[in-house]
Amino acid sequence: MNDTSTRPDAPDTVEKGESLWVGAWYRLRKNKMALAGGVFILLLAGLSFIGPFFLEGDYYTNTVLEDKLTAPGGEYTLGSDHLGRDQLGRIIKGGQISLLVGLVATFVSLTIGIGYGTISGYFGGKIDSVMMRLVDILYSLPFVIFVILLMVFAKDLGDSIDEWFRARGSEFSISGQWNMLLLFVAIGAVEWLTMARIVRGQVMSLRRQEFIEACISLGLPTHRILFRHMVPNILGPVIVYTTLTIPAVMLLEAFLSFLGLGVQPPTPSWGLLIKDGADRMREAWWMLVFPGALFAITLFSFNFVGDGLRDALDPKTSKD
Amino acid sequence: MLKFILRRILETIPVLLCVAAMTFFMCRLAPGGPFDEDKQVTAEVRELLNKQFNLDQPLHKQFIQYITHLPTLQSFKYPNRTVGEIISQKFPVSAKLGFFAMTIALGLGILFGVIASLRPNTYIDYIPSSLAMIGICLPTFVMGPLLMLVFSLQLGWFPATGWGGFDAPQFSVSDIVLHKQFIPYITHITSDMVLPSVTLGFFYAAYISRLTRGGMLDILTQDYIRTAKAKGASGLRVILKHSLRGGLLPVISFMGPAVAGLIAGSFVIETIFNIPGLGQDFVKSAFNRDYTLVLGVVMFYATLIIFLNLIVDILQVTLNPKLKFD
Repeated sequence: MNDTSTRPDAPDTVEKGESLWVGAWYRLRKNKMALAGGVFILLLAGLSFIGPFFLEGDYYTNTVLEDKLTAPGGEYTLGSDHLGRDQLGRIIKGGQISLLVGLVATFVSLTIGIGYGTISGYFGGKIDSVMMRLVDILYSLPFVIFVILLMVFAKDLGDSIDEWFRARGSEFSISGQWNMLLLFVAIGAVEWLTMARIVRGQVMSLRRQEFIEACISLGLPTHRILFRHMVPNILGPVIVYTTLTIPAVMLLEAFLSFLGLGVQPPTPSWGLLIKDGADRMREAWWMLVFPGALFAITLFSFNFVGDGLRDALDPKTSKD
Repeated sequence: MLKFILRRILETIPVLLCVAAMTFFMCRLAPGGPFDEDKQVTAEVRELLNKQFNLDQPLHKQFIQYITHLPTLQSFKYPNRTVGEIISQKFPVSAKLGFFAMTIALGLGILFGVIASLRPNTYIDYIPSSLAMIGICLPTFVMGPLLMLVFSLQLGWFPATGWGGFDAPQFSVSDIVLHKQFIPYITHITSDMVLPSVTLGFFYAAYISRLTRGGMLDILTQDYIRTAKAKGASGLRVILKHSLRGGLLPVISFMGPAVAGLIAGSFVIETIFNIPGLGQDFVKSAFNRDYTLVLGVVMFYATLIIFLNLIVDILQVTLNPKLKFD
């Protein structure tokens, strides 16, 4: 996207190993769409995570039935929903949930993908071909179907776990957060495949380089070579793909919530708000349009940042 | 090639068995059962029901019975109907939706992608490319309701929900053939399909147009294209005959995941537009713990996806001489 030849000539003094990041920042700064996306994401994160501190505790569940379906403007900036709850508050809380799911589930998939890809790429040979064949097979499976099944069937498992602990006299309770935990695991378990492939490719090409051979001949233990010397060197593509995974994960969460399988009411997520809005769009367009637009803009921003980072960190592989 | 196909089909068997086992045990190890919601059912009746559906037998026996007799097993929630019957009745609806969505996706996607690739980084490129970005970022469940709001509730062009299928009693065959009723007939049977198919197909159209643009840009700078132009081949001929075959390779390899995605997307579309397809049934049957139907639908979709992936792989090798069946 950007013309890399516009970089200033390298200074005479030798930079201390930060040229990749400095150069990347220089290229990223020129990409206005990526910057705008980044600023939007930061604002959104601030609004959803810091904003609630300035609001009353029940800002997203406060039900005023007389005010139901109030049009935007006046007391309700973005209108109110079918139970008279403030739409703005619900969008803020929903954003918090959606972003949280996006970040945590991405982290889960990142961990699995990096671990799997590093091992597969580093050991190569039979191990690699078996591990990658497994990824191929998993790719060809209808994974969304499994996520749906998992979300439906494991829904009540939280209660069972609570009961198990209660029978043993423990106060431990998990059912309140169970659905969120399930979302993290279910989505994370699906989205790691591409990451594993990317990491494997990177590790395989790194493995042939001299500094890794030096590590091996120095007799460093394998785990140290892998996680100390390999992983930091594949960070560029990983960061890029992570930025692109977050919107995919948020989309999957919204998809599940839309089908009634994700976050459970009264806690809102953007998927749930869009579902509520779609059900009532005849009488209250604002219930659909505001969360829908915000969600789309957020996905836009993440994609622009991801594309921008790809251009910035890895000018060779960027195509469009 | 035959060997390749045979090997892939053989490979499918253990994969499908794993899918069946995963689905079955996930369903059965989870708390709850198909008759839990009927509170008025007494213990004896429940026992009878369990016996009728073989739920009292050990799990592994049930599993073997399930996988060997799957199509003829009874559904738990639709009494006296077998899994095979339900799927063969509901799937054509979903298939029709998927087919039209795919047609829209491929048609629009390739067209816009080719147009964008001809004059890169000009307005001819920017307009389709930004449309594609919108298509990728606007989820189907936002776009579907929005399209419905505008085109059926405000403008009244298309019905908002429902699904007529191919039935149109007011048009007889002779009317359609002899009295030039063909176009009204087509409009009638397709009008309820336009919004769902466009909603489902738009994301893929967007994605395919990006892939086409990238693939075409790679091809159009190749020497053999310059040679073709130098020999005086017309612009259209260069595109259709020389570039598209290579330029569409990324699109072909995307078709495998796209089919799986279309199936998942149909769950949402069928819910939004209230279309009586298999997707809506699947989500309902999972909620209802309709074990037999869940397993049936999962196995059906898994087989379908694996089979379509095989076709995509074969297509890829036939179109790209650099690849070989390994």
